[in-house]
Amino acid sequence: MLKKKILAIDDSAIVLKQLQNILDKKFDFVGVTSGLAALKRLDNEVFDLVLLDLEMPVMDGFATLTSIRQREVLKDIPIIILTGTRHKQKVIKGITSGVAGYIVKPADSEQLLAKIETTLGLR
Amino acid sequence: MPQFLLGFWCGCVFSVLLVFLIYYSVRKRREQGVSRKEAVKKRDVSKNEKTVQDSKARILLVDDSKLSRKLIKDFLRDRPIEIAEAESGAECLLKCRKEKYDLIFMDLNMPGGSGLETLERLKNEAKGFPQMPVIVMGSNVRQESEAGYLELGFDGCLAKPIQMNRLEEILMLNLPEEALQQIPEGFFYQKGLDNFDGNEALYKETLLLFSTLWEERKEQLQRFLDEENMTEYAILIHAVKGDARILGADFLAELAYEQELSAKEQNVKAVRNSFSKVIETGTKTAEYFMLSFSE
Repeated sequence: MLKKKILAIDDSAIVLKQLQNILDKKFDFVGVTSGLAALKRLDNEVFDLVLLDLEMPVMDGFATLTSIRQREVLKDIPIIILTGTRHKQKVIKGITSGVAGYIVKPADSEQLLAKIETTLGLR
Repeated sequence: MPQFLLGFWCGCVFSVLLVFLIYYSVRKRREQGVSRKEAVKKRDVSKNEKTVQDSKARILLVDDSKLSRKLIKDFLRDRPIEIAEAESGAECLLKCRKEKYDLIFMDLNMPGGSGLETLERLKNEAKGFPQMPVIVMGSNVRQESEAGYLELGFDGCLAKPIQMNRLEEILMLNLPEEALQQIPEGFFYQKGLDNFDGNEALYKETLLLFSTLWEERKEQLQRFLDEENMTEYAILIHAVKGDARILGADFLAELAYEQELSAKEQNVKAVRNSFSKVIETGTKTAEYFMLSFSE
């Protein structure tokens, strides 16, 4: 059975390393460090789920989210927000923008796996 | 001369000879111990010539008890120290013929060759001896008997169960300064390792990545502050905060978070006031990671 493919978008290479460590065994993991790089990959490959950091330079998480949803083929792709922010308003804004949920960084491996697997209907 | 007088004089002469023999034997051992200590203290490598590899001390743990070795290894885990292990005197000798160590911990009682027997053989066979201090350890070893162990040729003793403050004292007396690099304030190795699910190799690789990124980040933060560009400053310090938190550098993460809040409020003055503190902490943390965890 083919592994589900996950795209993680975070400007921190260190965060991506941590996520890869958690997800690599069960999923086909791809990490990119910008919204622009993410859109390039999404336009050319098929992903099952996106992990999206809110605070990024140049194109932040919300701008990236908007761009993703504007693409017809991606309008329903599940997106889980990654947030280090203690500001609830940003998280609430993200949820009402049609994301599947959020995970607070640093990601707890069990919580992250549970969230992803539930979202993908694997649990 | 009556026989008893002859016997008396022979006995006296023999006793005097024996006393002199013991005196010179002890004096010779002491001189060897002093010259070994002096050789250790005289290690003088120019700081500019040092590489990270040169700065790492190398310790050999010689003990048939895996638990004893693990206790010391766990204590030293966060330090820039390479640790080798040997389960026996024979294995110790094999290693010491090939490599030089800055410090050796040697169990007194081991099957197949005691610590003392191994020490005697080390003198003749080890590469770089006598510049390798040897600390004897054991459950029968007593701190108050240290003078006796010094006379036997050891450089100190460590009683079991091991007291960590005594272990720290031995490290301070015998290792070069770079190996005694202090752990940065608010850095918790285990916490960071837990965030990587115990994957120590990946965690250490990521600690080094932080060090590599730090120099450029420091320059960028300075530039954003000089330009009073708080929007970009906030984004970058947010990334520093997130990385520090993942890696277990909690104090640095908190400093970065406070700066992030100030930058988002466009409070240039507050950012400027705390800038040197966050840079100093980040730099110490990056240097510590590079020194402690590079191969």
